[in-house]
Amino acid sequence: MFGMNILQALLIILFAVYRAVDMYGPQTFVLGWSNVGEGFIVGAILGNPAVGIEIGATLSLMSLGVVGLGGASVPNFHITTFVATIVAVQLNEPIATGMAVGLPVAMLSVYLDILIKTIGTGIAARAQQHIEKGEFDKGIKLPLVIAFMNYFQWALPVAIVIFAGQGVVQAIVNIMPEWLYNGLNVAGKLLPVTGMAMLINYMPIDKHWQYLLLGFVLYSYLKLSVLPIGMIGLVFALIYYKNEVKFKQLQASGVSVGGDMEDE
Amino acid sequence: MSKPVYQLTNKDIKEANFRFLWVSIACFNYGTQLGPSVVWGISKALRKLYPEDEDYKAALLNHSKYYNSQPYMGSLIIGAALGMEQELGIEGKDAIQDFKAGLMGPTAGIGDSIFWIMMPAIFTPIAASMAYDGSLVGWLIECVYWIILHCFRMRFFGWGFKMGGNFVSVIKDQLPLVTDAVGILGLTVLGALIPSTIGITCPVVLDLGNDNIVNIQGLLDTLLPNFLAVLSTFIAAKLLRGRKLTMTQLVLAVLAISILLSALGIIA
Repeated sequence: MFGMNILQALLIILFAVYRAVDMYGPQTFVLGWSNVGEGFIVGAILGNPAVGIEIGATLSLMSLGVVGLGGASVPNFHITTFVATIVAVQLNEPIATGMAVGLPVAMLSVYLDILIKTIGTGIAARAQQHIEKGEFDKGIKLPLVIAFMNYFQWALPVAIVIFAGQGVVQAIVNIMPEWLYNGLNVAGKLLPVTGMAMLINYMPIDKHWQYLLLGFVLYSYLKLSVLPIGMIGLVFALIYYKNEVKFKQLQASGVSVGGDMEDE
Repeated sequence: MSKPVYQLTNKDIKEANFRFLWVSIACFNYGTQLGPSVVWGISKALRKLYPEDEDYKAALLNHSKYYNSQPYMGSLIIGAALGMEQELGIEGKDAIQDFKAGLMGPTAGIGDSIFWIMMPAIFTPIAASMAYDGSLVGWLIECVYWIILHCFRMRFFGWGFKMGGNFVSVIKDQLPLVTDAVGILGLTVLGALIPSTIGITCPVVLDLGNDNIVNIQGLLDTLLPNFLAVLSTFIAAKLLRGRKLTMTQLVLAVLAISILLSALGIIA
């Protein structure tokens, strides 16, 4: 159990359940959506919040834009935060070691997500049959099984690592060569590219690519930070919106003007 | 067949909102996606509108159909759909289905862009950069943002219900414009995020003899600042486009390339 007591283990697992319930349910994120708060709380439970905060910050930036939109399954960097913090704090290892263990767990969690969604497909079809037969209560409540599977989706891998993973993790840590450390440090700097690539494909890039250039110039040459650049972006968005509204009004009135001229 | 006799009260709407909230994306499946979440959310309200089993069944089956949107914006749609049930009764079920199917895509586009991409893109770097300096203030700012957002979005369902079928006429012309405007804001931020989050450099130094040393990174910096960030994003975006690679495959590829190129000393 990585040298933690049963209370610490249960608290961490309970926290993982809470985060998943919030994610799949109300999405309040009163503890933030970034991994900073997550790392902080797991670290605090284990008595070393500083390491948790640093891991959370690193993973937050790595996973920017990695969100499962439209039902896609993506690597779960929240699970990585839990696992990496546990490994780094409890085994007193550098942060890169925690990531080395946490990232594969996040990759594997993709398959858990796909599995739940696949099982859910069968359950949802069953539920619909119940409704067709007039068994309303059954049909409405049955899909809650999918909901509960999702509520525990983050806690399950975390619990497996805590209760059964120490041997495997220790073995990985012992054989980890220098180049893998360095490689993972570089991966931390390059991984945000995945989120950025997804965002680019998600935005109206063909129509409005010049604003990508604008943001790049403001950051790279004029050295502004992200928040003021966001405000400048907002100004351009509002100008565009107002102009288009005006344009539509003009178009509409232009037609009537044309009509008047015909009358004359 | 006639319009529902029962008038849904504020309490009914609140209850439906809360029921939908707890399962907002939790009942996702590949078949009907969020259909079961909608059914669970508004089933109690529908039962009050349709005391006859046949009507109730038709309404439940209608809402079991394929549905997916971003949860915040989606609660506007589901609220409005419930408003249409109230106005039109079960005879309006096709209109209600068309309404949901027609609006879920555009509203998801706006909701995802703003709430999942834009706002996290602004608040996460603040939280993370301050966290590196050992301060939790950035994280607390992020938490406050989410709490304020939550207070707003809890009203969306009720707003949707009040607008009902008028929802379409209110936003139909605006929707493409809003999507475009949000896209402009998003792309501007993204243009800054690419150089600010991707921090790889090229440590290669070429010694051409005669004290002629070429520092590749210095060369790249004079060519274009953050050139490697731009180049790697361009390649990754090309790979994702047209689904040549899935997100998971891309993450694996980046991990492998990072380890390989850093071992060869090409990037650091």
